[in-house]
Amino acid sequence: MTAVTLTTAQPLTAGQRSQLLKKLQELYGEPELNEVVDAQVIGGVRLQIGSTLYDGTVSTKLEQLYDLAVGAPSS
Amino acid sequence: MPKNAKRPAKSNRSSRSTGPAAPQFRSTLVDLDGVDLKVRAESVGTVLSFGDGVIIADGLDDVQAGELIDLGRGTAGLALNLNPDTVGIVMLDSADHLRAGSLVKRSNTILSVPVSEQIIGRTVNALGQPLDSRGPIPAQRRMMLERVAPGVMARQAVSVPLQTGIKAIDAMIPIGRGQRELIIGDRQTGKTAITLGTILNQAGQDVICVYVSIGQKNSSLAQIRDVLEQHQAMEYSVIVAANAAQEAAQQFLAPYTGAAIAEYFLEQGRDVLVIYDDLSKHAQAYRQISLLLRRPSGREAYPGDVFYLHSRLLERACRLNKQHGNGSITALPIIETQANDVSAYIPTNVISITDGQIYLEADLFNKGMRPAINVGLSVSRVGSAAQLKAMKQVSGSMKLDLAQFRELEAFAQFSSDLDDKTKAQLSRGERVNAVLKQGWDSPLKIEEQVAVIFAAVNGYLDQVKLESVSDWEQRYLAYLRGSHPQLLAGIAKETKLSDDAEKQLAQAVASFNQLNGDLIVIAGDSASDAASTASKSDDSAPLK
Repeated sequence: MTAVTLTTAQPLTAGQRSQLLKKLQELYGEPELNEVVDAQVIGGVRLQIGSTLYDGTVSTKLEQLYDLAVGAPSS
Repeated sequence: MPKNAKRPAKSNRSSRSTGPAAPQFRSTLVDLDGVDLKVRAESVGTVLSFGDGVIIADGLDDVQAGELIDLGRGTAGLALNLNPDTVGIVMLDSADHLRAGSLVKRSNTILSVPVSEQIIGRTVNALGQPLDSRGPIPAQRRMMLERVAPGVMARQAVSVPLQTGIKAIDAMIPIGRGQRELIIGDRQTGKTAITLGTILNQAGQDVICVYVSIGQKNSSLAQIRDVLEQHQAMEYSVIVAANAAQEAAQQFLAPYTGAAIAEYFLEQGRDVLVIYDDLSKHAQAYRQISLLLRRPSGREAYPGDVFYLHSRLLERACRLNKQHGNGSITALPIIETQANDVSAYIPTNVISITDGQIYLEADLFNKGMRPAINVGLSVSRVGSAAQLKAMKQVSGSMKLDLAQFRELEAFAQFSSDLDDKTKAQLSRGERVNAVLKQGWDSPLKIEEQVAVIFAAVNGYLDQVKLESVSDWEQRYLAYLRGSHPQLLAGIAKETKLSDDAEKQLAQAVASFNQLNGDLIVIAGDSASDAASTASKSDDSAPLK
């Protein structure tokens, strides 16, 4: 049983969910899918499988752009 | 970014409310066109507990020891404790945004600092980030903070002097390039002053200076920086600062950053001087981190590897042989003792690591002997191998003479009825001692030191009033620079005192003494002079 946390801005459709579960089953065996709906991510998907994170949310990409343009706060 | 682009709307997340109201854009335009925002697999962990600068996290599979952990919002931590289920992370910046359950990410990088030629003249923190608001430092190479010191076969013996410009040191405790010489003493005895004087004397010597400030007050560092800038010393110096208000982890890393920056220049075959001010605070910062990480503590509550903390740092000071570029790193670590206790844990550790120590005493400092170097207890294990031959010639017996003088001085307190020979010895000793006094910001070139010490040990100061010795020295040097510049240049070039040069020096001193009678005591008064100074020293000596 692999703990998988999925964060999206809007709930998944049934079709999207079954597609995801099928792929996760192939790669990781029996996935235990935990869905989180958070409008703050604006769009895209954040998928955490165990301690590996795939962050494709729009909010994170905006943050990355911000850091590039303005720079991370220096001490 | 196109000129008419709007600034990003203020985020409605409370996350940005701790920062400034409007973002300051970098002055250099960043081309966001080809920016790579691909989604990558990141190894993450969840914060289990967080406090006192230490984060315990789970997850973070395959994290390496000493790896940088991204804590979000541009803050970072260091993974120091790897347990089967958890990772102990020490914060490098204050990461107030973290909560239990926050995500932290592996960065897949071991700590390193970006270094290039442009780092000279800059002030950076322990992570190599600039502190002087003069823009980012371009990175030509990334130097690892933790690095194995050069091996035995890569080194050669220390033989080139590192001139400090301080007579007492260059004459009797000479330092060579590639040596580690500890400066140890109580607080306010002039330890930092010696190192600053040494930096000032490296002007034109082709030595890069790295000054590492650990746990000091910001005001002290500001003063030091001012001094270095006024004397144009920043043209060949770098300052690494992790001051008292910085995270303990930054204070722990700062000396290694200094060593890494020095190694960048070492590999180019250059000579570098690194000053660690001071390693006592460094050990305290490491103790703080170790105790918070629940590592077992030992003597004085320091962790068991506090010796290794300093030995791996100081072993990186070396002199490389020709096949490896002939460069050198000279280290001047500073240790602050409590009540002159050199047998405490950290002082004894560092004494056994370094190639000698310069021991400063508060008693001497208060008596007016500055630099307050206790010549008897100070030693340089490299010694005259790294000393100009001319200096060796004139100062050869100085250490012994001063030791004999001190014994005599103690004896003379009890007897004012001394024979002439003893009186003469006392008088000579007092003047040689007086000649060693020096302002910390007046470094002397080695040939000038040779000239002054030559005069002192050969009796040309015997007739000078004791309180006028420093006056005499200033006027004599001005006279030499003005009337006999070729003599000084000759000493510097030949590096040893030929018989001819000695004769010329003797003549110069004699004629100078003739011309400056106001500094000279008339023959009859010298006895009362010695007696009055003997009674003066009586007042300041401890009761026996």
